[in-house]
Amino acid sequence: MDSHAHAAAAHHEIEIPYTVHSRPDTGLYNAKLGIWLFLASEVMLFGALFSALILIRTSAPTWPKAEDILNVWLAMVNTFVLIFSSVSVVLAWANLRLGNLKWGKIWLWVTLLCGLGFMVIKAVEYTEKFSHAYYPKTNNFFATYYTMTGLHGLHVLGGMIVFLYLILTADKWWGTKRAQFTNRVEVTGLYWHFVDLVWIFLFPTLYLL
Amino acid sequence: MAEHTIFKPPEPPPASPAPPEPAASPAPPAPPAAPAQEHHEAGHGHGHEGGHDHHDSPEAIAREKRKYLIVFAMLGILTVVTVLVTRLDVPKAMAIAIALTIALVKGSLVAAYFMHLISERRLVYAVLALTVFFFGVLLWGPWHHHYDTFGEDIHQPLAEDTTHETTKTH
Repeated sequence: MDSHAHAAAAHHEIEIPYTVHSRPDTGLYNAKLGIWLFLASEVMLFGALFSALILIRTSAPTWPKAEDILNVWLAMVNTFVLIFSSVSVVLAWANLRLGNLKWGKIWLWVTLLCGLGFMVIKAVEYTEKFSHAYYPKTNNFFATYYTMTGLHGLHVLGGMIVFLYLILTADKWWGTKRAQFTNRVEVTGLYWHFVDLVWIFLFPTLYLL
Repeated sequence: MAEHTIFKPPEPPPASPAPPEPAASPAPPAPPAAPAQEHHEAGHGHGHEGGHDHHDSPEAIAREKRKYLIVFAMLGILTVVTVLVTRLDVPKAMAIAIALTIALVKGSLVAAYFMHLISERRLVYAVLALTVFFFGVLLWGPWHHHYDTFGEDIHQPLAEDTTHETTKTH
């Protein structure tokens, strides 16, 4: 009887292997290897855009002076916001590992709000550009600016959705699959740090040089 | 099969503010090679904190937290430095070199400490080595063909009025 119930439960919810413990051959739990492979592909995605930027820029006869048309200070504030959100997500992870769900959730909220803050500042920047009739079609500078910051912004948005999901389902996960939840936060954090890392390179290349 | 399913989760009361568990949770279940067993195990939320199998004592985590804050401070300082350097009147090539070097240092700090690459499994390093190689190939392309103009100052103020004109007439 009991084994029947167990079998039914197993049928209902297929368990994913190695969500908590390391696979003996990789030395990693599966999600961690998965996120690193995904990030490798992301490096190539943004790498192609950086490569294109260098090509477009070095072959351009003229190039606008970024600090005259972009708001360096807003972008600098945004850099701080993203860096701080990287700190907050590792603090969330650290607290979860200590068994402290309350502070884990608080730091996840802080991270989510930082993401929101970043997007709001970005929106202010875009609005300002649009009001000066600077669109992607204006010139190659704005084409690359909008493409790269736009794609990066979409990544921030994607991360925010995942954080919201983690926060909303935290209690449920904490009750039954605590270690797996903690790992999910770690893996989402790895993605989030990558998004931060991309911005660390975007900020000087687009706004300062 | 038997020993693992019996493992009982030490559930702390939900309200109490995190009584940190003693350093080594009793017997991190001796990694069995059989994949079929792991299967069932994942379903039984066991108290093994974090599932991160190294540096998991509360003291180690506290030390880690301090490290995160130090890295945060360094990243902040470097951000301000980058902005200030571009305010100085340095030659273009030099400005590019400085800004990219600082970005590289910042990126390394994030990767090493926040993404804890400073102590990661070999397979992750292998994946990243391959990534770095192909990233290099991507950057080598434009560099190779345009190194002769690289670093030359091609700034020219964008004439705002002209832009307005052209967009209006369309």
